[in-house]
Amino acid sequence: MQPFHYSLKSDYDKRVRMDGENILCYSASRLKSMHPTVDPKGCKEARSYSKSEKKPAKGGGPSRYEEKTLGEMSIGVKKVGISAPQSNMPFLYKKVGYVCLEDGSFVALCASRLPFFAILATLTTLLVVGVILLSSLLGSVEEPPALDHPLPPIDNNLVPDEGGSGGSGGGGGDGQGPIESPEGGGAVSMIYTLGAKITLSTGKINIHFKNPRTSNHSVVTELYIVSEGREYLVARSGLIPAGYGLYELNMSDNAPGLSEGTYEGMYRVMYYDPMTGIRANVQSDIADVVVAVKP
Amino acid sequence: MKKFLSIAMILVMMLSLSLSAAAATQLDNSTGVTGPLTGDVEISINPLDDPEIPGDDSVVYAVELVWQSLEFTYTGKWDPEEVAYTGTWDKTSANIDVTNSSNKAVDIDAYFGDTPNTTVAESNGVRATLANFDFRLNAASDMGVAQTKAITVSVNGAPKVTTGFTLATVNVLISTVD
Repeated sequence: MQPFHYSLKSDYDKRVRMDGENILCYSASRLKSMHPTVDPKGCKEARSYSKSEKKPAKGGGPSRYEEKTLGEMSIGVKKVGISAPQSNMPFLYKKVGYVCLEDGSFVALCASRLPFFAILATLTTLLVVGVILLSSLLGSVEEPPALDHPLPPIDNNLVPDEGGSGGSGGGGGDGQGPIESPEGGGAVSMIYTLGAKITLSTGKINIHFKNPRTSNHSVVTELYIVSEGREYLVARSGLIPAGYGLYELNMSDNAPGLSEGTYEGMYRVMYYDPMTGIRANVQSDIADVVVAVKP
Repeated sequence: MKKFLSIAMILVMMLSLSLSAAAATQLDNSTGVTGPLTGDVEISINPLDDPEIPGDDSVVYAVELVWQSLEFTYTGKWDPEEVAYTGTWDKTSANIDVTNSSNKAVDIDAYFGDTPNTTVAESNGVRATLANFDFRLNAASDMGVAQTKAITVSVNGAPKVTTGFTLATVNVLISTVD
């Protein structure tokens, strides 16, 4: 290995740390001002090499260190390898300073930026974790308190009530605000038709039921087949908040077996206070629903 | 040539539109009514009827329920001579207003629980009764205004227990008029 000898200059303006040793050197700007003829890109490059790079290649060949370096320069008790200009600077390394050799040439000192990126990644991770924690804390503050009486899940097939299609007599008061109800009481408008169609092949039920914006309670509706005085549950909706319509129901898993035909049906409508989740002790049965069952 | 033909066709189309518009708005001197010279003004209504869905889809029912709080509070103390609580109710009745905004009449029948005609419910010394529980609401289209009637729920007696309880659920049955 050819030895290269570091030359200490009185006008070095920078101190860098390599392999645990402090080295006085030129900064890029000082090099440019003091030695304008020196091209920083044309300087040989010095860096420390890892043990694996110094390990001989398989088969007894020269190590990567021996292959890439021109020689060694002593810094304190350690030595750094010197390679040809722009020949051997690994990813994440950068030139941190320039030193003069005793032969008058210049060497760029290359240092790994891995510690910098490791710190940056750590700080970024901490920042992200902090933001997530903070947002979850803020989110939990904004969330309404859990209801003592959890509301049923909202139905997946809801359609917003655009208004203007209320009852034939102009009922429902669409376009108006919620109906005022006495304290502790409630108000619900129900807009519906008396026809329902069950398609057995799809398990879907076409209905027409709206809980308009004028209501101040959410509702859940159940469709029953009435036969010989007995009620058989066919489908149960999810929660229908005020301002939504429901035009499709799914048959319950435990619905009775039905064959093609027309049946007498009934809707049972239960009311829920959307603020407390409490089910009202008033409910409605809507009789005379005609249920057509199709294959 | 093509451009000339296109322009000519557009002009012809615009002219024909102008003529038909002018004809449609020509004043009928005999009546003073602006309108088409031939035929009457006709309005047709297509009910939203899905032939696959049974029943008359053109009838969309609109029924509204407004209820007062059905929570009744009894304030009293234990009377060992009567072997019961003695005290007073904060109120003894509450109304459920039912309004029909449909263009069809509906029958209303209220009862406690699931069994029709159950108009009295009793538990723990408290008795609840329904009044005006069976009535008809005429079609709003007939009345010119939505008709409202009230079902009354009343309580009396003295509770034999010291914790609140649910006496019954009021079921309001809405059915069509035969």
